[in-house]
Amino acid sequence: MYELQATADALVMTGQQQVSASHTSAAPSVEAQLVRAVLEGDRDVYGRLYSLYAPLVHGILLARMPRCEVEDTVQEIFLHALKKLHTLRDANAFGPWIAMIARNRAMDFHRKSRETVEVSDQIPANDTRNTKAVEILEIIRTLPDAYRETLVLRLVEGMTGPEIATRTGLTAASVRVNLHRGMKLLREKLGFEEGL
Amino acid sequence: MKDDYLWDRSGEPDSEVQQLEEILGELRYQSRPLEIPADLKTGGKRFNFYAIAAAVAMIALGLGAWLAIQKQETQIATSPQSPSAEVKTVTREDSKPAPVIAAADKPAPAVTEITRRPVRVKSHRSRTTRTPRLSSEEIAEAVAAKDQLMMALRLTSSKLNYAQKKAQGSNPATPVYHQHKIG
Repeated sequence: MYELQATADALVMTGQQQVSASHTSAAPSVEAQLVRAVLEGDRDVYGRLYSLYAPLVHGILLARMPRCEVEDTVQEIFLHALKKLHTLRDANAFGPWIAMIARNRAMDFHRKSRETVEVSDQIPANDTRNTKAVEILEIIRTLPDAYRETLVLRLVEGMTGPEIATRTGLTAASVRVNLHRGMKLLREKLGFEEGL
Repeated sequence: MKDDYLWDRSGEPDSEVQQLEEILGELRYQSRPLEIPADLKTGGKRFNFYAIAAAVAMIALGLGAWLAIQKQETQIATSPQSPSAEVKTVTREDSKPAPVIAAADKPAPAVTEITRRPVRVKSHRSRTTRTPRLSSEEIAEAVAAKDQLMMALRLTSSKLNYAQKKAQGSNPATPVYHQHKIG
């Protein structure tokens, strides 16, 4: 159990620390262990999976949905995933699986909102800094799907490229390309020469 | 290198990326505990329940079918041997679909026996396992029927042979019959 907790903590770590830790220890996949524990009936362990993957789901949703809807949708997605966890064939693939659920949920949201009312993303900003953040997020949302998701995970959620690759199941090369091309487009749109 | 900073925050920091990180960090995920409803059922448990229910139902069905077969077999084994007239009518009933014709030759009670009989001798197993006990009269009658059948078969066979030879146009008794006259 302690070993499980330790490996889970290693996953939560970010940046250089995480990369170096993964090189030194050849630990078994923590997701797989957690998923198996949940399937065996230990629901408390699901909280660990939630804390590990909530930022990923949050980032994926934030790249596609209005911010006011994101928080609740994250919870809904994890509850849905808990119900359907038995359908997950490869316990190691929890990250890509829940990422796909999040993408599908965002698509469903847009499909439904088109049928009903167009949801505006005008959030009551507390200060000008938050407003600036929302403006930049809006610009990021105008980028192609692959770029905006990777950029939000990197710039908003603070995940590194290797982390994004591991959690989403994408190859490191794809993430790297998406990050650099997306960043290039974002720089052009923001006009960095004028300053932020 | 600036790209390395964007990739994994290593190398020389990129001021623009840092600036964006700082601003957009405001929107970062704020940890919030997951509230799992107590009555939330996971699919795995439901699947187990359905699997168990299906297994129980299958066992019950199998047991029921086995008991029914056993009951039928015991009924056949304990029932008295049928008389010869009834056995005859059973074979007729099998070959001829109209029971009215059979009933015309027999008295009224025999007709009711005819209608009930096929149900009792339906099973193949009972036919093969049971050896019918026939009386001497029945055996004589059966031998006579067999002789008649063999005679009919022989006649049919000879007629077929004759027809075949005629169709082929060869008559071995008069081989020069169809030849052209010489001279």
